[in-house]
Amino acid sequence: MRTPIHRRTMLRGSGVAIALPMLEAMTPSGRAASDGQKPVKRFVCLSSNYGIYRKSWFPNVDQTGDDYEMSETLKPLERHRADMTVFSNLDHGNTIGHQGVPVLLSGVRPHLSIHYPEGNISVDQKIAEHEGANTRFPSMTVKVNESNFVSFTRTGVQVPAIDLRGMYRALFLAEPADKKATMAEKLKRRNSILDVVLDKAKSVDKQLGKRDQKKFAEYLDAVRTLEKKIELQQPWLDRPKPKTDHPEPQQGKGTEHDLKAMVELIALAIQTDSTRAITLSSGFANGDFGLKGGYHGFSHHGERPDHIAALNKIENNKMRQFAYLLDLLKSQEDTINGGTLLDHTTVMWGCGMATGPHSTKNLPLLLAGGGFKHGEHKVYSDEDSKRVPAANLLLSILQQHGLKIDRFGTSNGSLPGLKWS
Amino acid sequence: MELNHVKILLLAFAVSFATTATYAASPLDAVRPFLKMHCQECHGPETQENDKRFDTLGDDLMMVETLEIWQEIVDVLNRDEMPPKELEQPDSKKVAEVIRLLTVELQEAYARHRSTSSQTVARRLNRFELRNTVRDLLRLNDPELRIGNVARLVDNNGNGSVENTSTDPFRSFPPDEEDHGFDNIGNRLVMSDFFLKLMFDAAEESLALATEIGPKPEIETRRFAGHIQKGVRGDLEKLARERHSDFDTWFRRDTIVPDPVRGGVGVSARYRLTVEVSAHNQQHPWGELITADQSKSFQLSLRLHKRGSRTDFIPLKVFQVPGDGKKRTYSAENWIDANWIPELIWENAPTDREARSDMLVQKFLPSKFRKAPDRRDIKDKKQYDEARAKWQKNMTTVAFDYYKGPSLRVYSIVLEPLINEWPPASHTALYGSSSFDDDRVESLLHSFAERAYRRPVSPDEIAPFVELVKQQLNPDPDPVPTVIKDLTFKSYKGKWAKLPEFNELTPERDGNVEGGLVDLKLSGHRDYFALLFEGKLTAGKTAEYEIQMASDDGARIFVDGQKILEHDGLHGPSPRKHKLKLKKGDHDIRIEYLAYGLPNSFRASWTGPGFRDAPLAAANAAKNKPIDVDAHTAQGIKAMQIGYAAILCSPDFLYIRENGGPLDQYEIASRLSYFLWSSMPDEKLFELAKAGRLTDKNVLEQQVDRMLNDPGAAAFTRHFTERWLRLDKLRESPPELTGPFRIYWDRRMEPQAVAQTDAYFADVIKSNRSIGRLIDSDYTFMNENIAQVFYGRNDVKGDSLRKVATNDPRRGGMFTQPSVMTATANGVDTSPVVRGVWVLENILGTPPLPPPPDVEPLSPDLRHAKTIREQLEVHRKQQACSGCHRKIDPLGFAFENFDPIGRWRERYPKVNGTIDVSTVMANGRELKDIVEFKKMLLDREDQVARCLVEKMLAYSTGRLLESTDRGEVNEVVNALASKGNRLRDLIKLVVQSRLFLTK
Repeated sequence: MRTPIHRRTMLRGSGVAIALPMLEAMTPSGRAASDGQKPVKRFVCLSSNYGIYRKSWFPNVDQTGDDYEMSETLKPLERHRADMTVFSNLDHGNTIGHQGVPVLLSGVRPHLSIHYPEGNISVDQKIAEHEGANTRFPSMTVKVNESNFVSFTRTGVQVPAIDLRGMYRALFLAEPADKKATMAEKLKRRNSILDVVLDKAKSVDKQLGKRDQKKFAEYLDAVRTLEKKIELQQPWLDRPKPKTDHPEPQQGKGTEHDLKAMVELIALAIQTDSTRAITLSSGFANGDFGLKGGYHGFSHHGERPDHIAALNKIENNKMRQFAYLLDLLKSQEDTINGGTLLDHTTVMWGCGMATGPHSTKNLPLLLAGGGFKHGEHKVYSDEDSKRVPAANLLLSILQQHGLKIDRFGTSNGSLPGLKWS
Repeated sequence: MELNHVKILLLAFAVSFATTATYAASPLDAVRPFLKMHCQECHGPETQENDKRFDTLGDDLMMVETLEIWQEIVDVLNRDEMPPKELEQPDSKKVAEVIRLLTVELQEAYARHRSTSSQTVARRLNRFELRNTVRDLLRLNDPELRIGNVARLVDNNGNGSVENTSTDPFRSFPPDEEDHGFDNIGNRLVMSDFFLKLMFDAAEESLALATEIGPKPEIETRRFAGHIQKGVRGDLEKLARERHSDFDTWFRRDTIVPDPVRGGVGVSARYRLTVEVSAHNQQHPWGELITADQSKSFQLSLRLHKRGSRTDFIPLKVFQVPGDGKKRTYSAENWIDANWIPELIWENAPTDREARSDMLVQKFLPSKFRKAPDRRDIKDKKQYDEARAKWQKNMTTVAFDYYKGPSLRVYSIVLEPLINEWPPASHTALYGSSSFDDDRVESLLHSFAERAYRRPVSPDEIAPFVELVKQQLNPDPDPVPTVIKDLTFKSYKGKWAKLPEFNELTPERDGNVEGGLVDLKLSGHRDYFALLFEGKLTAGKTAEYEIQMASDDGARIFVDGQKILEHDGLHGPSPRKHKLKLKKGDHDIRIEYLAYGLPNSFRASWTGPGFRDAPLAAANAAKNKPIDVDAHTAQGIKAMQIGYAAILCSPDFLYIRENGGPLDQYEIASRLSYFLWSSMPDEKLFELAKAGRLTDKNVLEQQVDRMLNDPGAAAFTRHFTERWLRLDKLRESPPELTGPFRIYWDRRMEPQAVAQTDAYFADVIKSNRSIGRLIDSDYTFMNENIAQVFYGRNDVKGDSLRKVATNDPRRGGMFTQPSVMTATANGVDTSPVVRGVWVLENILGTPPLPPPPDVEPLSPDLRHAKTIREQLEVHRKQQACSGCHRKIDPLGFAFENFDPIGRWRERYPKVNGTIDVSTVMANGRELKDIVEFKKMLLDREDQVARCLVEKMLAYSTGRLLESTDRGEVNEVVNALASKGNRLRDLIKLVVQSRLFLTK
């Protein structure tokens, strides 16, 4: 593991000046102190809904390993080269165009989800389940100028996304007393019901035959587990939220501004350990970067130079913001684990549809931080019979997060060649 | 368990009898010599390659470890992986025999692993049963809870973003676990904390739906007459409005809705809808262009439409209006939820194309016809548009004045609320009368628990719930917010920039305010007026309160003569609030308000101990409804809800559990009602159970008739057909949104195709026809879309389903219906294998053995124009495949004329030549096409009936059949055959069978 000092030096050395929004006084507060599991891991995924322009985005496929040249679009990430990995030829093996977008973090098409033991649950929601009540928010699903389609629960319900304003308020603004009271009342009510119900269930259990009893054990287990979950949730109601001097960002000031502000909030959410799983989808608003038109329209470029130039601008900005998030996470000390926040935060960038014209082969995927061994352009086979499912990357991310699983979504193993310390 | 398992078991018995002389003989012994000769050199006493040793391998397949090793042996043989190629290879016939024997043995072992000793395991209600039960238990009317309505995630904009728009409290429940196609098998359904949490949410939401603490809605009969719609679409309709002020005329199919209910009826209630119409020119000389059947009267269909939805419709009734020009009235009664819209549609009206006035004139009034102006002649756009409009008007007028085609006049629509009791029955059943009585806690909980548990309940059993409720009851309850008592208003007309001196003005109107809420409508103006309200605010407790106000424009509030809020002048509605201490009792409140130019608004609410944002103005009441019960009752209701939620989350509600042996009376009542209604028993069934009459076969028979005639039986036709015919697969790989089957989505065919199947099945039950009718018939059910899309017919008009002659021997019966053909295809192409297996599993009840593990799915290779038929021929030539596929494939070929959405086709896309569907069955019988295929099934009606008996027994008992059930199945099958294999008889025989009446 590299030392934080090394990173700060490098940051200064590269001549990047960043106004850090974080506050010295801010410490992770309200963390479930009893949960001593270390290191604490986090996951952030930034995504887009319209794919990328391949010729500008991907490095040359012949330049593999650490000796590769950053592509035009990826140039803003040059300073993070050592802390990130670019993948070529990973995909989810479908041909469903826009419908591929919601598949990004599971590999599973929603309507096929019943064939998978965990449905089309996405990586962030899987982590949310794993972390449970360790943080105030098991996960955060956020958006900038675009809907977020990538987070799904195990029952296939799309997790609704919040915007800048919602994110800031969730992180820092105290709930109104009455809402808190309603919530507390509900939890209390359910607890008292569960007590009664459990007693009932135990008495019923005694009257049952063996087979019924076996089935019934599931019910008893469900009651006890739910009781425990309610118990874990309860303390968060009374714990104060972290305090911040970071002003509430204005919203609707263009993608450049809003996305940057969102990236800062994401870094703050990680720093304050408010959540350990975040997904963001960002888009483009007509007029940004002096461009007139819609993102979807540009993405169907038909190789027209003006459209491609527009896409390059939009995508380049997305990469700059991704780099900025890495800057923020790198420059901040991880007060829980030691090292920097980036050391323990897996940051992914991707889209479940590869290109505007609906290709879903060879998805754009980046991985940074999180304790993985980085610095390479990893190129996998593009032969149909040897294709590696992109879900293998998702599985590796989850394994690295500490989940003891050997299958996730459409994976058939961990991602070959991706190592972590 | 399916029929072939029974056969296998018998076979297994036969084998074991034959070798009974040796110690612990096992059918597996037959393959031991093979293993010894070909495998044990590497997997034997000397060496154990891969840690496998076969000479000591046991034959107890109930041990999972042993079972797995035998499965692996069969898998590697199937894949031809062993013995290694460099070694001597066994005779291929021998291998095939070993594979067959092991496969059969393993299947049998798996069945035994699954076995529940022919008993139904305590079974959790599945999501439909839960939803229906809660609906009936709480007497809910919400149309979202109607049978067959699945609250689905909707992708409203087609971009992959899905949302759940339903108010169904069970909308978040995931699909249930499934076994052999059934989703109500006790042993298979599971419970989890996730499910329990969903149940909590659903229980609380449902109870809130059943509870009514507001005042009786003030809703009067609404009569819409004359021009009930502000705008109409067609040119003829527009002209008709100019000519006639007391009715609207329709010349084409359109939805007819009075404008004021376009956003829904506003108040959920039972309504009587009465419509006054006349239909003209049913017989007319313009049939050459207007093609609807002139022998049929006008079909005026009444349906409910959910606001904002493109798919949610509930058909209520079709009025048959004779087209003789006479004025007639029709009416229908139904529950209509607040945001549902009653719509009328003249179903067999001319289409837009048929009702084009210029075409009508050109055809039937040629002397009056003028050609449309030509854009090429008139270069100036404005001039051209004017000329065009003039020409159109001319044609419309001519067509209208000389119109001889059919038309429909609507004079009035009356919407009459039928609110007899308040609070509604759903409320009083839960809380007694409108004021709460502590002494009734126990009796209310008791009668609720008896219905929820579907059996008598002892006082001991509900004691913990009574205790739970009583804990919540506090002698000094929080007050409930009230509206303003004795509220009066004075209204003034004038233009002020600041609040006027009210005492110096003379009111234009004044009076009492019934609802006790400040309402700007009382002024009778939209702008430039002022209002003064005075009344009494009742504080239920001495405490601190807060009053909130937002006004556009100026306003002031006084309490007890003190000005507490002021926001004078002209401005937008920014909120103002003020805290004050109030003593228990009444306080004078005075509200002054000023309206300048539009927009104008006034909102006010108050907050106090135990309540928040209670409305003081009508504008606030939409979200936070006023409460019309006293503090004690409010508290009682809250407490009871906790008790009820606890009952709904307790095991006796969530599970159907039965004691061993023959079912008791109440257990029979539940079996009956979950079988035919997918819901709890009704009063009648409880009554009969109490009287101990449900073991009487005659009573059972009567009850089946009664229950099948009840609308609730739609649950049986829906869910049973879905499970039997595997229509659940419709959602698994539906046709693609774009491409050749686009029309399936464009016309929203899936729900219509399912409705067709349901209607057909329900009709066979209703008329107690023979099972042969399911195989073949000369009729089916269609609406316009089904007729056009699936059958290529244009002679069926409108959305409602009706019985129609097929006039085509290929299309009768259930098994070739579009729903089935779509469910057995993969959305892209069809496969005789899939449909053949479907026939074996679901129609003939002889499922094939599972395929070896490594077979690739077959799909047509279009590059070489090879049809699936040619590929399958190659396939069947392979020994390993032939055994099963010579049985499977012929049963699937006949269906090849049905494309992936069930339309008839003669050729495959991009393949030359017509499709050859002729085939020879394993027994040598030749089948030329689907007609002969159906004949073949009719010849085997007894076998089809047996399969249906087995499926229905499994569905009705909530368990899979096992080999030991064979005798019972035979009895039902024989009794059924002796009565002529009729469907309603079958349901009765199932209910009277010992299997149904035993745990």
